[in-house]
Order: sequence, then C-alpha cells, then structure tokens
Amino acid sequence: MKLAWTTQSLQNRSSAVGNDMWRNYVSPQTQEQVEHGRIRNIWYQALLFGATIVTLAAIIIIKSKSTESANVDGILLFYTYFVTTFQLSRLVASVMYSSSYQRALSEHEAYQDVYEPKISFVIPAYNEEGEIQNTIRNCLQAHYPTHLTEVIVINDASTDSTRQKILEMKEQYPQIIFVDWNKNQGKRHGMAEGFRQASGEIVIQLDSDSRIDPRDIRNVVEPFRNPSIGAVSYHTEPANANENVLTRMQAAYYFLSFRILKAAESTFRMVFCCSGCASAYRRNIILPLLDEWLTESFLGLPVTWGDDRSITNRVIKLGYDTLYSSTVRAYTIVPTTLKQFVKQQIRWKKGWFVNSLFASKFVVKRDPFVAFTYFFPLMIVTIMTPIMAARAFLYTPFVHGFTSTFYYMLGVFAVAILFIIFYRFYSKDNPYYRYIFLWALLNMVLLSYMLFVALLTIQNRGWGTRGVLKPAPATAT
Amino acid sequence: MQAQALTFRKTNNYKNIFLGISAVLLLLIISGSVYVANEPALSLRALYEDARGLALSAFWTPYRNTPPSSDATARGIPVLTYHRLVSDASDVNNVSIGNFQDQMLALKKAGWQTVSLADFEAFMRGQKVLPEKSFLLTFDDAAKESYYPVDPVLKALNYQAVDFVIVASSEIPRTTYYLSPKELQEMLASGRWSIGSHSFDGHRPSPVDAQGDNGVFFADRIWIPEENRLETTQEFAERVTNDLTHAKKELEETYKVPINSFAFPLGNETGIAGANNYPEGAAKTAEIARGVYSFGFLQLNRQQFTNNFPIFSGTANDIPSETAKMLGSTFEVRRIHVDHDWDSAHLLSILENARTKRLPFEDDFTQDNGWITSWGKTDVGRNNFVLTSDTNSDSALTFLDGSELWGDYSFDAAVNWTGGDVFVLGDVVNSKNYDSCVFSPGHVKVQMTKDGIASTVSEKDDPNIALGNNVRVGIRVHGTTIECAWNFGSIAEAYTRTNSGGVGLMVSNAQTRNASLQVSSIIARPLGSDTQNAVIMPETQTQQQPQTQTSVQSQKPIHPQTHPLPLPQPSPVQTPQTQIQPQPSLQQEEPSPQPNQESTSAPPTSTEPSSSPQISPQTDSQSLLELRLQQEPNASSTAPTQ
Repeated sequence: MKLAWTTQSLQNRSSAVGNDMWRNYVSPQTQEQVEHGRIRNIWYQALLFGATIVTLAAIIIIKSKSTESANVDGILLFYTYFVTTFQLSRLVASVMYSSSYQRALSEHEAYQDVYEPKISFVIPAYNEEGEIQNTIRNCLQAHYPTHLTEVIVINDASTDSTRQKILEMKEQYPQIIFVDWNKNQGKRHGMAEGFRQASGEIVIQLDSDSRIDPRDIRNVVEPFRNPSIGAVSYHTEPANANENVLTRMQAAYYFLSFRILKAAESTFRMVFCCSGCASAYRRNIILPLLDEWLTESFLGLPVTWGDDRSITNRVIKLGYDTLYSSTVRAYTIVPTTLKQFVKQQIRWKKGWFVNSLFASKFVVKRDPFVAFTYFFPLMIVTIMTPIMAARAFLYTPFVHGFTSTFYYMLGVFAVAILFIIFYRFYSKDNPYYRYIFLWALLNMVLLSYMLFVALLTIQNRGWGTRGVLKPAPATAT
Repeated sequence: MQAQALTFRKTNNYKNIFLGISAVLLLLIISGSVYVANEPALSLRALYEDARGLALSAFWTPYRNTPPSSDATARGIPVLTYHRLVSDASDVNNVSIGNFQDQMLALKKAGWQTVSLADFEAFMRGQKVLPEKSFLLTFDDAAKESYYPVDPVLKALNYQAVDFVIVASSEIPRTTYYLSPKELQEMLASGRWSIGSHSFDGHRPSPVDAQGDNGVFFADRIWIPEENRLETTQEFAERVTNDLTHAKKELEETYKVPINSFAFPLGNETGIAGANNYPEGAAKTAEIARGVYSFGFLQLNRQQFTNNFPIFSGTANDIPSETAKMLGSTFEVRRIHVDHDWDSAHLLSILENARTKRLPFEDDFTQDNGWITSWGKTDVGRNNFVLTSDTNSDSALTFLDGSELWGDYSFDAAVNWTGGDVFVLGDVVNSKNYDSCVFSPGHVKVQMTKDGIASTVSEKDDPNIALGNNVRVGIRVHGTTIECAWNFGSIAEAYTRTNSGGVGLMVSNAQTRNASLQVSSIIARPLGSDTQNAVIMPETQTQQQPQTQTSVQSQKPIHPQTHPLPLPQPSPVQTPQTQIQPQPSLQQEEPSPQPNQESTSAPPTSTEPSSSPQISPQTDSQSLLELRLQQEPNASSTAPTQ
C-alpha cells in the first residue's frame, strides 16, 4: 500500500517516452474525462508557469538584498550570481529532458525493427534473508519473454539464511544462476562476477533490497537500441518513504535529484552516476572495464564506495552515452535514522569526490560543454556551498547583523520554491514536495558540511553498513 | 571516437537552447540585482509596507476624506516631531508603529489635517490661509524607519509629512539606516513628502579636545588635531556657515526643490543642548541659520504656547502689534516632540488644548485643558489643580495653552492660599512676557514682565488681602488697563498695558523655598466687546496714564454672576471714532456702529454697575460696546498730556 501513489502516477504519466506497454494498466477513461483532465492540466501548468515567474523575480530581489545586507562584493558577488544561474540552469536542462530522451530513442535507423535482446538481472546479496526472495521474484515477473531473461544471484558469503532462501528459489525457477561465495569479497566484486556470468546483452544491476517495476522492463531496454548508449539509470524512489519525516524528506530529495538533476544530466546524455539501486548496462562495454574498476584506488588505498558512479564514469570515458529514464521505476529502502542517513551522505560525498577527480581528467576532452556548464561548476558549488552557509550563519550575523542571514535563508528557500514548482510540474501526484524545504534547511545547517567530514575521513575505507550502501543519486547543489 | 562525435552532433540543439536560456537568466539575475539594489521601491521592506498600506487603506477608507470640521481658518499651527517608528514598543526614544497609527487615525477622526511644508511656510509668512485644525508632521534624520512605516499611514489617511535630511548621512553608500537619495527622490515624487535640511554633517559628536571628548558640532569649538588647538570663533562661524549653506545647496541641487527650513540637530530650547566650551555658540549658529534659511525648527520647551503663529499675524488687526511681534515667529518654529509613551488621546488633547479657547472660559479641572508648566510641577485633573515649586526652587509658573489670542478679559481664580506670593498672570505671550497681579498678605502689586525682567508699575497695601481658603484673586486686562481684583473687587490698577495674551498662575515663596498653591476653579470672561476673543486695543495707546495710575479704587464687591468690569465714569470729551472703525471684529459684532456712537452722547444708565449690577445677557454685548466707546476717549485724551 505504501506504493499506492506511485502506481497512480504511473497511470497518469505522459506517454511521450518509449514503449507504451504500461497503457494496458490504465483504467478506461471516457473521452469527457480525458478532455476534462487535459483542460485542468493546462490550468495547472499555467499556474506553475506564473509561479515560476513570480519566484524568479523574488529570487532576484532576495539575492540582491542578500548581497547588499551582507556586503558581498567583487568575486563573492559574482559567485552568488553564478551559483543562482547554475541552479536555475539545472531546471532549464531538466525541461529539455523528455525531448532529448525521445531523440536518443528515435535517432537510430533501426528504430522500427523489433528489438528484444536478452537481459540479465544481477543481484549481489549479503545477509538479505528477508528481502532476497522478493527481489528475485520481482525480477522474474518482468514483462519480458522468459527465455530472454536470466537472473544472476551472488551470495557474498552471507552469515544468515540468505543462501538457503536463494536455493529454494532456484529449485522453483531453474533459470536462476546462483553464484555462491564462501569468502566475503564485497559488493563491487559481486557486481563484477555478475557481469562475467551474464549472457544477456543488457545487464540490469540491482541492490538486493531494490525492487523494479516489472512493467517497465521494455522501457529500460529500448534506449540500448541506440548503439551509442552505454548505460541507463532507473528512476528510483524510496519504498519506505512514509516511515518518518526523514524518509519523507529523502523521498522528496530522491525525486528531485532523479527527475530534475539526473534528468538535466541526461539532456546532454551524460549521467555521471547511474544509480546502483537499479541501472542497466551494455555488457560488452563493461567487460573490458572490470579489471580497472576492481582495482580502483585512491591515495594508495582501494576505493570502497561509489561503485555505481565509478563504473558509469568509465563508460562515459570510453565515449558512450549514459541516460536516465523517468519511465522505468525502481524502489529502494532508505535510512530511517539521522545517524545512518548522515553516514550514507558522507559515503556518497566521498564517492562523489574521488570520482569527480577521476572524471575531471577526461571530461573536458569528452565533452567540453558538459565540463564547463555542469561538471566543473558543480564541483565549485558543492565545495563552496558549505563555506557560504557557514559564512551566513557564523560570520555575517556578527559583522553585518542578522538581516543578512535572514536574506540568505530566504534566498535558499526561494530557490527551493522554484525547484518545488518544477517538481510539481513533473509530478502532480508525488506528495512529498513540501519536504524539499526541510532538505534545503538540513543541507544549509548540516549536510553540506559533511563534504568536509568526508574529505577529512577519506582514508577511512571501512565498508560501513552493507545494508545501507546506496549509490548517490546526484550531489545536491 | 565515433560515438563521441555523434554525441556532439545529436545534442547540439539542446546545448544551444540551454546556453541561450542560461545566459538570459544570468543577465536577468545580474541586471535585476543591480536594478533592485538601486530601486528602493523593490525592496522587500517597500513591498511589505505597500501590502500593509493597502490593508490600512482598506480599513481606513471611511476616514480618508474626512471633511474639515469647520470653515474657520487656523490662527496658529502646531508642529509634531518624530524620529523613527519602531516595532519594538520598549524603545524609549521612538514611537512604535502601532502607536503612530493610532495617533494619526485619532487626529484624522477628530478632523485634523496635515499641511505641506510649502503651505506651512507660506502660512508662516502670512501669505496663505489654512483651515482650522491643520498641523505639520515632521520627522528628523531621514532614517529609513521614518519613511517605510510612515508612508502607508500617510497614503491611507491622505496626509503629508516632512523629513529633515542629514545630507552626508543620506549619501553614505548602501546605507541601511538612512534613506538614500534615490529613496528621497521617490518620496518627493509621491507628493506626500517634503524635505528640509537637518545640516550637512552636523549631527554627529565632534571632538573638543586632544583626548577625544565629544562636543556639539553646532555649539562647541572643535578640536583641530593637526594644529593641536581649538578652532577660533571665526573658524567656528565659518565651519557652521559652510555646513548650513552646503546642506541647502546640495539638497536644492540634488532634489530640485527649494529648501527654506532647517531643523536644528539636537535642538532644544537654547537651540542646541550639551554645548560647553563656547557659550555663545548656539546663538551664533542660530544667527547664521537665520541668514541661510527662512525657518529654524526647534522643540517646544514649555516656555511658549504650542501653536506657531505667522510673522505678520499683527496685520490681522485683532491683536496688538506688540503681541503679534512676540507671538508671531520670524524664524523659529516650535515643535511638539511626541514621546514614546503618549497615547493617541494624549496627543490629540495637546493639539485640541492648543486651539484658541473661547471666552468666557471656565475650568474646574476635571481634566487638563492645556496648562503648560514652565517651571515647577502641576498636578491637574480630577477636579484638582496644585501648582508646586520644584525642590530647591522657590516658584512655579503655569499658563493656559490656547489663551494667547485673548484680548480684553477678566481672569479670576479661586485658590486655597496658604503662604507665599500668588501671581495672577494676564497678557501671557510666553513664560518671560506677561502682566501680573502679585498678591502678598496685605499687599498687591501690578507688575509687567518683559523678557523675564519684572517691573512694578503700581502697588497698594490692603489689609483685606489675607491668606485663606477659597479666596478669589484676579486680573482684568482691557485697553491699556491692568487691574487687580480681590474677591472680584478691583483693588489696584495701572494703565501701562502694551500687549495682550493669555492667562496663567504663578506661586512664589522665597522664605520656605517650597511654594505651593491649590486652585479649585478659574474663570475668564470677556471684557468690552471681546466676546469672540477679539482684542480692541488701538496700537497707539502704549503710554502710561499718570493721572489714573495712583487712583486706586476702593474695593467694590461685585456679584460673581454679573460682569465684573469696574466701570469708569464716562468722559465728557468725545473724540472721533476713527481709531476703532478699522477694527473688523468690532464691525462684525456690531453691524451698525454709527447709531451706537450717537447713543454715547446720552450715556445709558445701565453703565453704572452699582445702580444696575444685573446686565442681561442680551444687552451685555451692546452695553459693553458702549462702555468701551466711552472709555476710549478717556484713554486717548490723556496721550497729549504725556
């Protein structure tokens, strides 16, 4: 029942993208209802458009007052203009996402042919006795010919009954390929083993606690028809979103970072992180990368976080495009306590930092446009955000008075409002948009500073809690 | 490499659109921010105040166009001073926004209307007539909080105000405290605001010695650290002149409006407070300011009446030129400084009390009708009026606001006289210029006080004058006569009166240094034709009258209900009435003075108070006029003998 709203949104979403198999699940609507909905949608979108203009004006006024009251001048003044423009440019890019995605699907000459490659699900599992059977069953339910579907499960020396549960499933479904390890080798090796064992052209990597929507499987396969596409990221949302305030806030943030930030990256066909919760890769691109990926090291120690970001970056480096698809949905479990959540954030930021350094070496050559309009600005903004926030909270109140802090916070919330407007534009039904404010606040007072914690503890390569090893959707600005 | 080339080609459209829109956004943000930074109307504060203004206007619409309560014209105009309006009600230096709103709404409901600075200046020059219940609303320093919280109120009530600008402060770049030139331009453009000068840069403390102790820019000689000395008085004058002329010039050039008014920074009764190393400094500044500006705004100090009167008010013919000269301002404008703890009723009562009171006037002290206590303390209200000297002072003086235009009248007070001297004041122009009757046990004096120096013009011993409860002390002023009354009987008089004015009371006790007087009621009644505050006193009659100065009449008990005027015998000498004819007030009250003139040749018997003490109200006016006519020749005929 906790997924009720997403099912509804699946039914309401635009048919613009990909295979329209999901239409089978739409309850029949009368012509009148359709027309009524269309008119209501026009009003709704006109309202959002008006709100965008108003918010934009408010942002400009607030930014001006903010810099005035905090005596921001020179390079710092330019930075505030730059950072606001950067934030707004993400929204601009996200608007073009659907169109760009559509073109990625249609530009190949073989578009009209039947495209049904074999797909392999890879599920590395470690102590997942509770969820593993559901996850496997979920894959087997994929709306795809059975003879073209295989499921590879890697038991990474679980200490609980995970192994038994997998064997039970294998008895029932012999097409499951079971890799059973006696020695724990880590998720990255599990994923690599999956790639090696897979016989499908498309490999779908899943976390052991992730679920995919079985109806969307053709949508994730479709982009691979285009030979320049190397990886496609699922749209992931928290399955346990309604648990508490923190999970609701994460639900809002997941939606924002996938549907707006990742979509914006996808517009230029360069998604730097195909989420580890659920992503599809072209197997023959990945296989030659596995050795380099498995031996990745940073400052002399092996890298144990950001597996998904790392493999995606290597796909990009080879010259292939990576996409995000808003029409293939996956659900995952998010941390429910602040401590777990902050730990996860720190791991993501470590992964972001290490992989950004790696990507910075090739990204200009690969695509200077993305490098200079997105990649490097993002690095600057991510590093500067905690500094500017600390300045607004710890420096200016004592030098220029609390008005400047007030304006700073007002500015952050005004930008949050703009993001919410787009959020509402992309999904009328997702109920968590209000929690963007909480995210903005938490980011201002806590999360953005975690970057420095991450950098200070970058040599700590502990595994952390295996269960909450989640990929970063995208780094917040 | 092939795939890479493909990417470039395939997403080029999006890249161009993206770059285009992002560049537009960047330009929009930069230009918008620069515009907003220089456009005060777009500040959040302005937007918030606009919203609040709309709400106020909605609620106050019924009052916005309150018509004037009467067609009468104003004789004098009160001026209010505020500095900033604050949200914090605990600020003891500034009025809160809510309180200000209450005050303005109360004034509006009571029919008070603001005037513009230009109208006020024209009024003070005698060039313009303004309706009764007009006032001028002023703010000092031109801080942001003198505009943003105020403007919605002005807009909602159709009011206008003046902001006195410290020029240098307004030009501080990106100032968050003072109004910027841009904002001031906007205020002027709204039509609701005028500006005046509050100096160029004379509002801040200035060093007066090598240690950095601070003095007052406009009153102290300033330390010159380079030369290790104080400036000379000549340098002081130059510095002050420069500041004042610079301020005027800069304001006129920047805002393209004439600047005639100057508000003295840190201004109090002496012009400027806190001066210490140059006693003449404040006066010097006032003199220089007089040369640069037409009007200098100070604060009321309980030595003057509340209202400001035009320079040429004497030409209105109904008050003597001597009074007009003292009462009317040639430069100084006195302002009511609104304290943080005044509620709207208190402010309204001050303005209402300052309005010219009508004769006859009775006061039994159920409330404060505007007693201004120059020194000492008064406890007034709740049917009680006690005048007490301050500690270490031997006297206390109070006078009645709104009585300054009274002409010929009698003024009696019922007092509980327990000691000391009781001064009954008449013809009060300010706390230093008045006529008085001084009652000591067994003795009475007629005194004239000019610029604080009293001279006794007549005195008499009278054993009837004694301490007691509920004794009546009084003064009658009419024509050139000053009379003293004990229990309504005239006991002493002098014919030296030169000016008219209001009433007051003073108590003095040099022995105990603890003077106190309890008053239970006062009554002022018109004398002569002065039933509408009009004064009939030809300007030529300023000489003394020696033949009557010593003629002290015996005490005549007069019934309080009757007119208490002691009537002189009609003079046999008749002189032409030309001196009286130009008096418009006389003609108003007596549409046909000529028949009356005829009647004076046959004096009516009713003029003898002993024979007919009861004068009916209907005939009162007419008989009084006749009396006055009989009196005139007497006065003027004595002039040649001088």
